[in-house]
Amino acid sequence: MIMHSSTGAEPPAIQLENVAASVRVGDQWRAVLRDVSFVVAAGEALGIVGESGSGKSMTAKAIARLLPGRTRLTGTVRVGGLDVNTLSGRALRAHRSRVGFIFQDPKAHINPVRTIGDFMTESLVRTAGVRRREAMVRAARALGGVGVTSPERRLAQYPHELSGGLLQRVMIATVLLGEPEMILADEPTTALDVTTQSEVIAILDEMRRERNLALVFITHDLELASTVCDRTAVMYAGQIVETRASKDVHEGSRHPYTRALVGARPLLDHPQERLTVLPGRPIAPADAPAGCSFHTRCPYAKESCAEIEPELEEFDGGTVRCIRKHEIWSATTAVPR
Amino acid sequence: MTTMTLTVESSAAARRRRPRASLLTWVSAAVIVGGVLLAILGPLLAPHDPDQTDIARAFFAPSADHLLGQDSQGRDILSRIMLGARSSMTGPLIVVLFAMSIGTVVALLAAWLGGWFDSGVSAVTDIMFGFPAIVLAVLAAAVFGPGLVGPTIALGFAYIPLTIRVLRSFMIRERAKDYVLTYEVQGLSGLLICARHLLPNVWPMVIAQGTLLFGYAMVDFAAISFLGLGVQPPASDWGVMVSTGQRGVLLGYPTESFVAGACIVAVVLAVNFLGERISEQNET
Repeated sequence: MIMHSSTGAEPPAIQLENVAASVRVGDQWRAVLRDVSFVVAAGEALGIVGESGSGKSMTAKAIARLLPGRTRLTGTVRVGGLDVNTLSGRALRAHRSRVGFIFQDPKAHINPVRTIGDFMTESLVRTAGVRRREAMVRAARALGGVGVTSPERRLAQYPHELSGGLLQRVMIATVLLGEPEMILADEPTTALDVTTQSEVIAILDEMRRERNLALVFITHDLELASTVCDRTAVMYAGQIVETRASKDVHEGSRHPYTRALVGARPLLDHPQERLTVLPGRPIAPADAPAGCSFHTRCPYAKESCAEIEPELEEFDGGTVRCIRKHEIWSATTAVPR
Repeated sequence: MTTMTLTVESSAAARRRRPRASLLTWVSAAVIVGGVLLAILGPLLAPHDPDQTDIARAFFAPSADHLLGQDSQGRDILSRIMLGARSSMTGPLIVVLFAMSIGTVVALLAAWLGGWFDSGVSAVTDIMFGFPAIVLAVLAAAVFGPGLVGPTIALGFAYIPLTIRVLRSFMIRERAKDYVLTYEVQGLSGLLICARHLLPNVWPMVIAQGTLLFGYAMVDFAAISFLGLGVQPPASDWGVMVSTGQRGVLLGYPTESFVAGACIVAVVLAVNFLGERISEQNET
């Protein structure tokens, strides 16, 4: 009964190994991802947090193989054990239909000149060969499932007639209709107002648990990531600088950048005069300095930080990309805040 | 209550965005419909045999029997105009259909595939732009002999680069829209996305471009006929009539050239105007 031997075990839903990507701009190749590695198991949710341009969306697009044409990618992206970068044609389309992608701005990502019903059933009818009538019934059921009232009426409406929150539900319902094995949610609530945001998150969370989906949840919002996800990865300048169980991020994060992020958020129960800010501006992956890419803004930086490029290493229950982690955290009394 | 006011506002806004068709639009539409009717029914409606000469009545002024008068051979100008509609308009129509169908497909492919294919298409169209339509038509006339076939083929090819260039830019813009990404990630094939979503969404632009092209083609055809490389006299054709009427112009009887020219100008203007309206309506 040794079913779960190392060879017979199911490959993880998503596995990235040393993924680096650069995009050609004019004559130059500008790095957008640098050495990104992580694993997401089926049923697990990984949050990816970072500032704009830190490579969050690029990571998700690399998984779905939606990177723009002028992109050079190294490293391997495996989805369900399949190397995504070797796929083409029919196999690529099959791979993509296993991946549910929820985009940031539902208004832009739904064909404006087709009805909601048409949009939702397009892939079922065209690629899965489901009859239109049957597909419509399923679409209505899926809309109902994400809490949309009078779904039949919605199916006949056009995207401009629906609110942003409703459209994002349409997007989620459409993704679920395709019965994906994983969901990549690229800032799914950024374009929504706060009350709709919590509803959409709740739906997403419920669906993931119900269907045992792997979820990659991309957001600016550290707080949101830690509520939705089991683990949180923090990205800076195209690299993952720290991964940690979400529940430990607040107290237990060990990378100076993560500490700074945690320190910069307002707290309801701790009134503060001013928020702690991190000096400087986020660096684009292509402009990252030698050594540690964070050293220019890091309060703990020493000369060695500008020389040695740190690796993502196990540390204190997570992984941290910092050469001085031991030094900084040996003096546990002085918790930097 | 709120919904009430909202609906009222939005329908008012909608009305503002889509202005009512102007008088010019109606006139243009009428000219085109009239032209098409003439092209179809011309031979049935013509009051006289367009090739019936009557030298004794050369250059006769308009009369009750000959509403537009008679030409240098005494032929009825009105009948010749009515019959000329067909050959003057079918040539451009074929050219437009040919150039547009090839141009649209190539532009769509270039926009979808991008990369080296797109660069190649752009390079080839740039080279093709080096050959003016008229020069190609003269060349074709030399190869195929005078008639409609040569100019049609020449103009058909000459208009392809123009079509590609205009439509390609629209399609690249459409292809970059985010909804295309959604379809891609749903596992739809490129062909399906192109045929069912990209093309329908740029269709108004295709139509607008087609109408503009029709105007150009008509003028070019008339010019070719005028040069004597297209439709040959004594066949009735507006371009030919402008040419054969020249003698009348010199002698003080400009009706034939003038009426035929006016017909060409009217149809070209009407088609261009409608095409412009279509593209304007779909711009925002």
